[in-house]
Amino acid sequence: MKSIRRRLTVWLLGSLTLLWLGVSVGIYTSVQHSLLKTVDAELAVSARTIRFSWDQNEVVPPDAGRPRGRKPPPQRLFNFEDPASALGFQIWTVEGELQESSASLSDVEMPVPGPVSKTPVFTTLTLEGGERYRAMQYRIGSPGRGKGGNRPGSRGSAEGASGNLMVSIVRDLQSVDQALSSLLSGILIVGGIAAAGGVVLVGLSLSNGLRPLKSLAEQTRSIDAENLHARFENEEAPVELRPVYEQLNDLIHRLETSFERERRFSSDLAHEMRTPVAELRMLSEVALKWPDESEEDTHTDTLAIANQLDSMIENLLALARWESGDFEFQREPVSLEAIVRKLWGRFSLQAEKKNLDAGLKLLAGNAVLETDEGMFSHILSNLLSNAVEYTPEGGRIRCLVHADGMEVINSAPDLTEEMVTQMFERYWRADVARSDGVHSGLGLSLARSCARALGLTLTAQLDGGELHIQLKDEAASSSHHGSKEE
Amino acid sequence: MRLLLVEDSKRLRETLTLALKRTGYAVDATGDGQEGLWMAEDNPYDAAILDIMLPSLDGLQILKKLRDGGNETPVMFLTARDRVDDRVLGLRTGADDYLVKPFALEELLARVEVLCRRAYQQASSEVEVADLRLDTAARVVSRGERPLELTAREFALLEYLMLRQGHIVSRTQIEEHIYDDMVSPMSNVVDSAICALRRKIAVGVNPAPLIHTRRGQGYVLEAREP
Repeated sequence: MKSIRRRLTVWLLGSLTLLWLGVSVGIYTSVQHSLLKTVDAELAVSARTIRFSWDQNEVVPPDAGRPRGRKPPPQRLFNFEDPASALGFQIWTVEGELQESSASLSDVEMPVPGPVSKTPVFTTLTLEGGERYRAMQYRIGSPGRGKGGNRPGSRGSAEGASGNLMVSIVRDLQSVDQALSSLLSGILIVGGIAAAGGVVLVGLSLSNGLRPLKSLAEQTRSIDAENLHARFENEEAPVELRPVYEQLNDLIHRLETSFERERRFSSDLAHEMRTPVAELRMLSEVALKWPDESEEDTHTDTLAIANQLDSMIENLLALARWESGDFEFQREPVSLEAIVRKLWGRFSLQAEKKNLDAGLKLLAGNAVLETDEGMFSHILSNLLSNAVEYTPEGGRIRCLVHADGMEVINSAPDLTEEMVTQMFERYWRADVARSDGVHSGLGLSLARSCARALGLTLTAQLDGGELHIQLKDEAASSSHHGSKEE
Repeated sequence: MRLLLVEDSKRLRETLTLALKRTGYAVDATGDGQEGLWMAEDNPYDAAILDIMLPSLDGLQILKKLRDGGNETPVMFLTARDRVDDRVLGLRTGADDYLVKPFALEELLARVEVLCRRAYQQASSEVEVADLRLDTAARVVSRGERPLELTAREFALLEYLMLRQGHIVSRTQIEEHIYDDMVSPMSNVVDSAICALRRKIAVGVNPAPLIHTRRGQGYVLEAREP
């Protein structure tokens, strides 16, 4: 399982380890370099001492095993004569024959220097026994005994310029190695402690840093379908999480609205189904209780209830399908005038019976909408049906054709502003429609869903005792002009 | 017993009216709330059955106006609103009963019967006057050991008289409680019904008369010493 905490722990500890390794290597290398420079400086000083002694023919003392009849070494060469001393020197011929060696190196077999010039070369030598030495190697002229003779480092003669002897001044690196070893131990011990401390501190830091996420998770866990009114408390939330909190609160708000709508819908649906089911049950029970007196009307009523329930279910399914967007449209140019005339035929008889003053007004010549004719017809049919149904006897109906849509106006003396705001809600019905058992209260809701699916707007407003229902394509351009009234 | 039914569903209203009438109740029915209120205020119903969601005036408002006006007619709500809140609100507004749609006819009849008994402070479904016994639940009547065959209307009339035993019941009261709006006030339907009922309950050898006429006042049903 992916874990932010685990990932951060690995990354932080890995980074800290790499940082520690880098710093450790840097310190170690720097100290090593510094120590070697110190040793090199010491070797350079020793070189000058030897050179001076060489010039004085003080090298090498007779007690070194190769008596040469020279005078005893001066005090400045004691460092080379003491067998315990870390310093020493050896002189070879260019052929590799050892000429002279300090007493401190009497038991040590130094490797013969490679080809060297008069410019000193510093190198680190590791003997077979594992002893390490720092060496300064350079070439000097052969020992000419006298002031005109060759001297180590003499630049006075051609032989001296090239030199025929090789000098190697060495210093035992044991003390340096011990210091570096101590440094390494220190680094490792400190590193170990730092690593242990790092694990604890990283753990604590992450726990502290991730606390808001934990709080978020706990709050999320506490929210369920019954608790959607709750909101995430983002007063204390860190800045980085505030957008998350806000988005979550928005999401819950949308969920709550949606749940509430669905609850209301389910409740309304149950309510709407109860009455026809109660009717059906009463009819059946009465017919069973008094079978001899059962009337033909009972069967007619039963069929009517079945049709009503069937229609309600069909409407609900259509509503669900269109609201979910799972519907394919077949858009084509639809003449608004033609479609109104076609649909009005269905309602004209009913309008005549109610003595309604009905009229069609074309405000935009040959208005054409690019839309799905079937669905558009469904919407318009619903609007016209409602207009004819609810306009009181002798009332007026006007159907206006605009360039960008339709407007159906009908007399509605009993309608209030509040009723107009509710009329698109599912199961809303005007009082007069309630008792007929025919209207499901889904018509306008369905019409609005269809309109939305087609990219149209369906709105209603009350003006001077007349209900204006507008079906408009906001995007349509009004390219048609002209007006005629029938 | 005379009932008021206010239900906006035409089919349900008509079916219920039919069922109640066949059971022996006089029923006045309407689908409009305001009209229902006027009817309840103008007539002495033994019980009223009201839907809640009604055109023009809802059932709760009707009940509130009735109670505010001192009308204590037992009321039962018959509605599709089944939430606990709705039931509590209905009962607290003053309803005596609450039945959710869809419902069983027998349950409705039983509840209506209880409501009617409550109107006469009668706890039991059995009423006795001398050896005449009437069971409102089983809807049977017997005198001594002999069961009597009565029509629904006769049963309702006898039930009304027995529930008010010892009290003078006027013809108008009988008309108001046993007959609905369809009966003409000028007819002698009450006298005819009383006459028929007297004959039917006069069974056995030399039975004691139980329904007595108080001239100019009405009728009283009671057992009198011979």
